Amino acid sequence: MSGYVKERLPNLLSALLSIALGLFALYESRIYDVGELRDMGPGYFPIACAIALIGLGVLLFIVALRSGPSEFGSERPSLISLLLIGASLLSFALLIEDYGLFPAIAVAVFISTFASENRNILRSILLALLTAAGCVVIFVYVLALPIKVFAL
Amino acid sequence: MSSLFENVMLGFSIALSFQGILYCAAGVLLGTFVGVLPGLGSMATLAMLMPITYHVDPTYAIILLAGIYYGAAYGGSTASILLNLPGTVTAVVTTFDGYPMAQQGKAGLALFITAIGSFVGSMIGAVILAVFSVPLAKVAMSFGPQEYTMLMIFGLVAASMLSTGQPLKSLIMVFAGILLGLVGIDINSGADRFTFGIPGLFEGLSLVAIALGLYGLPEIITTARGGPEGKVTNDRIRLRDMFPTKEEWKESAMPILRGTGIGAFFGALPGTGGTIATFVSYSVEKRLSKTPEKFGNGAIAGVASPESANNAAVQTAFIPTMSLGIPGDAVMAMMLGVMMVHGVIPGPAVITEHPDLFWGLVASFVVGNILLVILNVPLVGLWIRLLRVPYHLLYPVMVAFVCVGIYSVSNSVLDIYVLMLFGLAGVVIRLLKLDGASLLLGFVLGPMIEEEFRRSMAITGGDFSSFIDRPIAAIFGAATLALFVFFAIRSAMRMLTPGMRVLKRG
Repeated sequence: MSGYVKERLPNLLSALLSIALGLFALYESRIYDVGELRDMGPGYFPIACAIALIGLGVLLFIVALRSGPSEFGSERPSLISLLLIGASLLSFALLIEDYGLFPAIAVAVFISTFASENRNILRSILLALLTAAGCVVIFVYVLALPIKVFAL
Repeated sequence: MSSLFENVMLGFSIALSFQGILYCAAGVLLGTFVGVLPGLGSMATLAMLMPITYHVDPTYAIILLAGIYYGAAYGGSTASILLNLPGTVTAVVTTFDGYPMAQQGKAGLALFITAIGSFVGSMIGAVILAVFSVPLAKVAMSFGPQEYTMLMIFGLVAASMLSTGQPLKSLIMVFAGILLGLVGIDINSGADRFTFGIPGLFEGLSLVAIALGLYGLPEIITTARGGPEGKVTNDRIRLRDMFPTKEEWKESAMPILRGTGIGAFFGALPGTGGTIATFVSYSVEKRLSKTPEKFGNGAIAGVASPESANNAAVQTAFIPTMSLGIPGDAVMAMMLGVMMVHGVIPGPAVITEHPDLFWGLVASFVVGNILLVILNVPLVGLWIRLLRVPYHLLYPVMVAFVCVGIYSVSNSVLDIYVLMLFGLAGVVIRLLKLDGASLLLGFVLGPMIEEEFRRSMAITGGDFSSFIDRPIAAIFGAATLALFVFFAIRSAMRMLTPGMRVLKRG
């Protein structure tokens, strides 16, 4: 990749993302009835938006190529944090229906504690249990949400 | 005006009821709590706490949500002054002079002036909201679908183009947001769009999932490792050190009023809001000051004015949201989204059809801001202690809150997967410097624009001339066009003559 393209990568990627999203929406809307202007079908508006996305994406691509370098955002999460928080949410999603709120929260919190540099298994377990207990009190007893604490 | 008086009384009867005070207090407390933590902005705070409001009556839900919002704005400035780390974007300016003041041992004074400035700004903002919303809603009552279509398009374009970042990228996000808003069953034809046959998507994507994904998750993930660390002052802040001298009162009185005016003006406009108001008010004070060199080194006016501006803007931002049903920024889009979840249809009829909601909200601003002064002046030590809790103990709790919150909205596991997807999108958006707020605005306004546009085309038989024949629609159309032309010319000039600015300076 030439340095010229590399310097402008954030905006070029944004443009490609926009075009890709537009094309995907256009492809998905192909089966919707477009109708006509005075009696618009379900496809009219999405197709118009999809075309706008593609058009704006192409425009941004041209603008990005012709103007100065763009920068990536400075807020970059570490990949490990990203994966661990993702795994934490996934564990909650997988556990909540079959095992209930307490186990789901405890596992999710336990996994998420490892996303920071601080590692202390005992503290993680303690935090997981305390948070799960706290959530049960707040959401099930105080807010009276219909969620099972233990579903077995 | 007896009717205004009656309405205000109605509002206070709600805001001062047991539940009213309870939810208002809960809102400002929670908002301050999360807002104080650096790295979590007011959008993240709102998104994280939004699920709670789903289980409360609409009036109290809005009171709670609004309390969280201005509570977060308040907490943000506390972190700015004590840590030099703005808790929210609107508190960035407060670090300029607030932190130097804290270093000079005047943290208490800075916090007190922030409290007074915010209080005055909010109160005047609330009065402006009360006075202007009703007549504006009356005018809007005569709006047909054409006016609404153009007004919403104008609101979207203005909000996206005037926000920070590149206008073209923001516009792309608006359209992406509209497409996301169209997911679900089309109410006119019954066709399901972009649902991929998943029944859970028939009702559309969950606003909470998107907001939390775009704002809550990325901020938690980014701060989990090497989150912002600041040194909290070890000095105990005593109440008597907080109180300004006569000189300091004099120094801050006019800046507070000017800041309030600037904030109230920018707050009511779409897209600009509190952030710009804080920067404008700061530069105005610096220019008007007899001692501009003091700014940046602990000028009291440099704290007083932006803080008043920020809070006045928070209140007046509700004007277009409540009287027209048009949100000016992402936060207001979320307010509107919560109203819709509760079956309140946004628009000019809200004030007359749900007077308890509107006036209760206005009155709750008064209650909430009094509570905030109590929370932040005598109890500031509590927040300082909170800032000392290590972040690696806090964020897992937030993860838990996010999980239960999103699941509790409709006991749907699918929402968690949607949240994860948007969390990833949020990370990409930050990486590519795209504009998440525009996406959220498009998401909320998109389906409404489609509806109004369809209606206007159905009435006129597909004739576009009705957008020009109707003066109000035409004005909004022209304003939108003017914005487009302005930004197109500006970016074309930049592209063709990249060296122009250098030449001008030289």
